[in-house]
Amino acid sequence: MTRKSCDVISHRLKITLAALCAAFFGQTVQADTLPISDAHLHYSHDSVELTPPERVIEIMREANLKLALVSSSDDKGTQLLLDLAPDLIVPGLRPYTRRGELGTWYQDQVNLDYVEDLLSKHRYATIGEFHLYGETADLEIPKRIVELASEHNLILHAHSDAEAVERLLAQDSSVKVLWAHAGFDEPEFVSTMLSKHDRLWVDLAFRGEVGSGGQLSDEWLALFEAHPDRIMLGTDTYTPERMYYIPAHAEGARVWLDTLPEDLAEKIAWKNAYDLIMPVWKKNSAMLESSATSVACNETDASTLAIDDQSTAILQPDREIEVGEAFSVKLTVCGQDMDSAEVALDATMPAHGHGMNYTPEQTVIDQNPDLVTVQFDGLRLHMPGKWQWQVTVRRDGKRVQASEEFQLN
Amino acid sequence: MSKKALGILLLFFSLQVFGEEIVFTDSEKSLLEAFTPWPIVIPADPGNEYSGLQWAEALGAQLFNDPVLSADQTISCASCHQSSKGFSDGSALPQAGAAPHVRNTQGLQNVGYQRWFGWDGGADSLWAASLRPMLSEVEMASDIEDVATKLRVTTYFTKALQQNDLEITALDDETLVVTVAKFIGAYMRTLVSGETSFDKFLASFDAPDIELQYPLSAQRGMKIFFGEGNCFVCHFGPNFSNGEFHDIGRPFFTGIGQVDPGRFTGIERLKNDPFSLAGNFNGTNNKAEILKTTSVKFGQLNFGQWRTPSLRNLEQTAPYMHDGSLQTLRDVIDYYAEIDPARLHSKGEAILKSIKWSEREREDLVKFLETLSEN
Repeated sequence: MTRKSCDVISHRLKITLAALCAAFFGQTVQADTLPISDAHLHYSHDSVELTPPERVIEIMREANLKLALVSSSDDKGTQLLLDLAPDLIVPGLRPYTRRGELGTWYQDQVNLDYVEDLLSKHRYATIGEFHLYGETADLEIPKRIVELASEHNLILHAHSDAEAVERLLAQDSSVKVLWAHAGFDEPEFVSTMLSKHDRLWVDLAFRGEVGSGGQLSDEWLALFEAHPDRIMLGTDTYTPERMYYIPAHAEGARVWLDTLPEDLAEKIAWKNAYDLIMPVWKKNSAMLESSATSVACNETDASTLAIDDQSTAILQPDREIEVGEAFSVKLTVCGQDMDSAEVALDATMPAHGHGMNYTPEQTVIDQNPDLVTVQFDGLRLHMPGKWQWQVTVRRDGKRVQASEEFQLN
Repeated sequence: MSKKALGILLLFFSLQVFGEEIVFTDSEKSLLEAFTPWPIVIPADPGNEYSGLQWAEALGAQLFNDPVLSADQTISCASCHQSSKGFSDGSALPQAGAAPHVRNTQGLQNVGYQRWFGWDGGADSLWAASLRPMLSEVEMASDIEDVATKLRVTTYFTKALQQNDLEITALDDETLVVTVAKFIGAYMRTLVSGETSFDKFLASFDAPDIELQYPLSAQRGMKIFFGEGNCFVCHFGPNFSNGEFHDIGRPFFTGIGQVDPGRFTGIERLKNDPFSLAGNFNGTNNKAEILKTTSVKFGQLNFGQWRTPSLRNLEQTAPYMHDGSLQTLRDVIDYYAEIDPARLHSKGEAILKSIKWSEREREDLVKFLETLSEN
């Protein structure tokens, strides 16, 4: 599809296609071009000055990126890209206010304050890429960074040596580390690290020797085969010029990925990063949405449904429900001991003997002793008439259910 | 003349002079709003990066009519999807390939409004639906390599690609044929039927002479369709289809010891289809569209379900049902009027019940359905 194609679209189709053209203008990728998740991108202050964010997104789409993990010094570039392409950009929080802080940040309170301030304003999937080596990983500021990662459900993106990686992992048993550049270590040692730590993943950014000349060495192949689910790609746009290298990097990777079995190639190309990062981002971004429209159990105007004498459900569709149109619902169940509760939502038509033809995708976006909030995506009520919400709560080995009828016309 | 006789005479005259008056309640009018306007904006073919591009639609039209896509180059898409018959073929079951087909050829008008494609919904996009007939033994009986090889030397095709910055040599066979299917999908999306007398009636509901343009019989039929018949529940919206699947009790044996389970097969096909929206050929990767495919439920209820057909231009697409087993619209109405509850599971479509409509009611329903076709 080209700009020319977009220009000749008839008036009849203009409205429908405007968005299509906007979304796809500039893409020359073919449908079979292997998508890439690029897990190592920066769009820092000097880069923002030299390349408009719209052009950056265009470059990424030209490269057929499916996911772009971006962290920037300062954070403005990341937020600009996220606003433009929320379907593509996953934000990482880089603890640097400017370029050149990579050797000082872990001792400077300014950087920690900066991180905490950003966490109060935005949501992220990762914290990093930061630079940290050896014992410095156990200094106070890095330790606080690990605490924040745990509190905010963030993956640590560490440009570190193996010692620092192990120190970070040891600080919190829940934290996950994405090891930038695979530590610039030899593949055999990387394999040992991955075998040793099941909370460790690696990106291959700036590892030019991987697939050099279009061929993989036996050592790298052995690493990929030993850990097919733990390795991902990254361009590392550490200078403004390298933004323009994203497509060439993706294309170069496709050459050596093509020598791998299809399943393995897809995993390294995009699935591993997608599977690691997207669930985290989805949960964290949903929490932002949740906090923006948070339901306080005791002070909501939304209609409520009594589950039992201890708990109440609040159903919040994201739009007016129309026959046949997909929509989402945020379900909040308020009560006691909700931190261990599981909730389910279904919609049925009692007079018809059936319900929906789809199983909505669900994501827990908030859970604490007082409430659990779950987002259900992809609901679709395909007939007009009397429907019934069914809310099920499982807690302490008990199952309770409540229903509420509503009319859909 | 007695007063009684006078009364009868006056009643007779009033019926003759003023005619019968059909009144639609506010609630009926409100329901009917869900069936307007027509036509509505056609959604883009999901996952099809060429959907909506005029050159791709034009090229798709050429390909749709080109027998080059079939193995022996004797039939095109248009052989079975004939424009004069609402893009169906008029037969109960077509025979295009080596063996007879077990399903009736569906009309393609307004197909772009559907959510799933084919009687079983085994395709989640128009382009995936376009690909299947090319590769089906009972349809065009070709294969990827064969189609690609022929198209690489088809002048109008290679020229069109060149003019639109697509480098044919850069496309492997599979990608090339998927791209062809996307062009055909782009074309099929444009097949939209025109305004009907039903649409005109709704547009001027309260006009004083409306009954002159819209037969009273059709108005009575409309009352049944949107009333006790509950037909509108599945045949919902401006395209008269809710886009989903139902078991209305039609038999689905295709021979001794053979059944065609409809949607059950469709979902199995969908889950294993490398050309579904969840696969690598999705050209737009819209998350909500992919979710449609990945979230679809699969279960016992699907065994014997068929997609709710649109009712627009129905007169052009006889015979009816998934196997073409009902010849006329009256046959269809008779079937619903006499529906056998023993064919319907108690947990199935509980809304379906035999209503035993009178002769006049059945004719009224037929008349109403006829007004959904262009004159």
